Amino acid sequence: MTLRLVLLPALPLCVALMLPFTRLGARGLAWAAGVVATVASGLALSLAGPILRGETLTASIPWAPAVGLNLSFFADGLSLLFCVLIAGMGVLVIAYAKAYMPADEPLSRFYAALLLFMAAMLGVVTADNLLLLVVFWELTSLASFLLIGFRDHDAAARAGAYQSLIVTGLGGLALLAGILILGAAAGTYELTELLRRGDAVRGLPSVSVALGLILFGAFTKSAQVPFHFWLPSAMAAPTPVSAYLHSATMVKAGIFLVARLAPLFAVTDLWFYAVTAVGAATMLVGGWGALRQSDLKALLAYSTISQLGLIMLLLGYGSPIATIAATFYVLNHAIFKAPLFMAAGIVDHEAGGRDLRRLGGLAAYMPRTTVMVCVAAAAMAGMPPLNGFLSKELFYEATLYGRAHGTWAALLPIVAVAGSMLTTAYTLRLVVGAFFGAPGDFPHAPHEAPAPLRRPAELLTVLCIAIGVTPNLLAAPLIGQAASATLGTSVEAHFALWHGWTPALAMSGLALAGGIAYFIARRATTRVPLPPRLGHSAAELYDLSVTALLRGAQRLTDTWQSGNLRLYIRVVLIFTLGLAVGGLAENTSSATLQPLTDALPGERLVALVTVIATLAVALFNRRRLPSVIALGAVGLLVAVYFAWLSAPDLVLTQLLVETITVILMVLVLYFLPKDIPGHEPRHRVIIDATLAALVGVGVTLAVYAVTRRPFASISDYHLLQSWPRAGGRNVVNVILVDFRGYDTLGEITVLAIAALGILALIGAARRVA
Amino acid sequence: MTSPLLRSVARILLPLALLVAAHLLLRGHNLPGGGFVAGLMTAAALILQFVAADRGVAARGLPCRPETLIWLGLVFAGGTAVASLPLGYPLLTSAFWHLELPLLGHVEIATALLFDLGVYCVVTGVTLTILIAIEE
Repeated sequence: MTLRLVLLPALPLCVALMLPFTRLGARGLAWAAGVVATVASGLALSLAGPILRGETLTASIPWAPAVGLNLSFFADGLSLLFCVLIAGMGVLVIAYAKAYMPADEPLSRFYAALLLFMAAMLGVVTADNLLLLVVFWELTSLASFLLIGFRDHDAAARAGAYQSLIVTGLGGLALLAGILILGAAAGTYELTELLRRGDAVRGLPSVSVALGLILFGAFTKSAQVPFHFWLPSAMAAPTPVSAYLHSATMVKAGIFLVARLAPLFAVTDLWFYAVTAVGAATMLVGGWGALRQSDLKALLAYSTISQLGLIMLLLGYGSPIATIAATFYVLNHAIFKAPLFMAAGIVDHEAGGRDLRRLGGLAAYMPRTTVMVCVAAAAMAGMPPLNGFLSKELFYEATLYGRAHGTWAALLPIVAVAGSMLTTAYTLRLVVGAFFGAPGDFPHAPHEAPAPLRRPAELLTVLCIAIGVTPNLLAAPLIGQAASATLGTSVEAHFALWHGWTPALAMSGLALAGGIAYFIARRATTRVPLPPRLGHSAAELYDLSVTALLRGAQRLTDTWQSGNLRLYIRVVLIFTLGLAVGGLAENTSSATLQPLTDALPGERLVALVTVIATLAVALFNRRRLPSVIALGAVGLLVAVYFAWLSAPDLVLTQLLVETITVILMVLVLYFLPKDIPGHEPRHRVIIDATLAALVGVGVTLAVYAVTRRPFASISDYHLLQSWPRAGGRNVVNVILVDFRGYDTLGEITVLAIAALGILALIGAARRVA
Repeated sequence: MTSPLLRSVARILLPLALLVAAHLLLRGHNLPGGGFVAGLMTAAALILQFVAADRGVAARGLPCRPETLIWLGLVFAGGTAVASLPLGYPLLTSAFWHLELPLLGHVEIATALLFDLGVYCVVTGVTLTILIAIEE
């Protein structure tokens, strides 16, 4: 039991909830958030000792054990890798945001959402209970929504926020469904337990449906084709958010989930084909899209999509080397992509824009930033001796020596090289286009960024070099444990810059050369075309389906909520009748019903008078007020009947309810014409009369079926227990406030909500009028 | 609808009706009555004032807005429901004591009455809220 595990998500969560209520200024907020992130990093690192020795830490607090929901956490190598990434990157991003975010924006909201995200993401990667994981998963989507839409005066920000919420929310629903199917079939929601059972879980019925739904959720979150379009729209978020959520961490939640479940499912064919195919397609579509972008952040977003696809592809393989490559790439991608995003923010700040068509020659104005971007970009393209080169090499090797799966497996090395060529080409476009060549047409004169804005990115760039040069010291133990957790068996990670003259090295060279060649050719002559427009069709499809959905909802509402009270009453009556009669018909056999022979003459008389009086009023009366009064009279007759049956409580209630109903109806009558319209079309009269007759007969039958069936009454129990157990002699009241007190509590709550609803409705109607 | 006759009758009826409502509420545990009926009774008595008298006068006569009464009732009932938890009993456990008091004789005190008081407030509040909203 390691309580630090619970503290890891709990601490940022608590502070996130408190921040909006503090009166801290911009600096104070940044410091508070930074301290929390630092403490979280410390907590994460404090777990490293035992985990790197191969232990798994657990913590569990029962929450709602009856439905299988526990606050249970566990941390292994994979969790540790992500925890370090989330908390560590959090510190740097907050440091960057402190320098980046203008002080006149609502920063308490910003930092609160950022910490909320950090807490949720830490929860996702340490949750043991799958339901708990879903809760955290949805929280990351919510935090992302808040952060993308942070500048809510900007229409693009709002649209991007909605789009990401709808796409990832849809995936979250699928994930929940998949997990419910899986958990119900396996009888447990604890990940550790599921992983331990292995084969037994794979053999469960409907497990492929569950897996499909879970993968759907993971693919939406990690912006895989065809759901990738939300990520470029999410670039409307402030740049620190893009660097943190939409490149380093949140978009890797899907990757994490796939890695987490890999030991269970990686051996299945569905897994191999689905995950590698989606990953490969995403890698190519992302790289292709990045070549077409002129906005720095959009280019980086597509590049992120492409690299998320690469990691997904690797996880689909499931071989030891592919798994090591995937986990290593998760780390490296965060380390080289975050400084590139931060640099895009710096350029935006110091040159007044980030459109490649207006940038150029920035190296002369901001030399330090340029050096930093060159290093990080080289790592992204996979140049030695940087960290990106190491993971790229492993990637090629994994595609070459993966398990044999026919032509598809043979095709993957080619896909890998093609994807990397695209990477090289768009990296060059980014670096050369913005920082070299002729000076651009800047919105305002660019200058070097102040040190606080550069520091976090520079630190990460140094890490690119450090990990590239001494990978076995800095990364190998962590990656080894992470890969072991993803594989389900223990592996050692060992990296080397130089492997000898291997096919992987040739592929590296080919990818770099191909990308450079394309870039030079494209710059030399415009006859080498940009890639054709592709991949926007998914976004258009999304727009179309959202529009269609809204239009359909509008049409449905117009049809059923037309304001025609007659229609409402018909629908309500028909459905009530159908439910009551249908339900009773299924559960009642006429043989067991007792005939109605024990009714007293007096009872029959009361009933007869009621029926005749009602009919007379309904048929011959043409004014509303007498109708209402007659209805009240019927209610009073019912009260008389209750008195006959010696039910004084019911009599009292019936009398008062009738009184108040009559008052209410009289008040409403004020708004209606005095007379009931006399000239009804014949077909309408027929419909209404038929419906009335049907309802009358139906209700009679239902009452008959309910009251004339033999059943064991629990009245005796209540009569006996009322005084000794609850100290009351009025059984009706004791049932209401004690025996069934929980029901009463629910009922008065419903009453209260209904009253507020009516209040709001009448208020709205008055405003319209 | 402001006939002087109705107005004076309504004025005399109000304290009587409220007294009956209180009676119904208090005796509910052992005899016909209870929070629901008492709430309806109170609401009926008050709405009579609204119908009979000038609305401004009636509204000023209310000690609080009817919506407040709803919240109050929910807090009361919910509070009574959870009050047993800190004492180690399940939700909604009720307790009752029998006392012999001078003058009054045998008196029973039950926590269920507090719960019923919550029901009373909610029912009164809801009925008044709806009726007043429509009446305006």
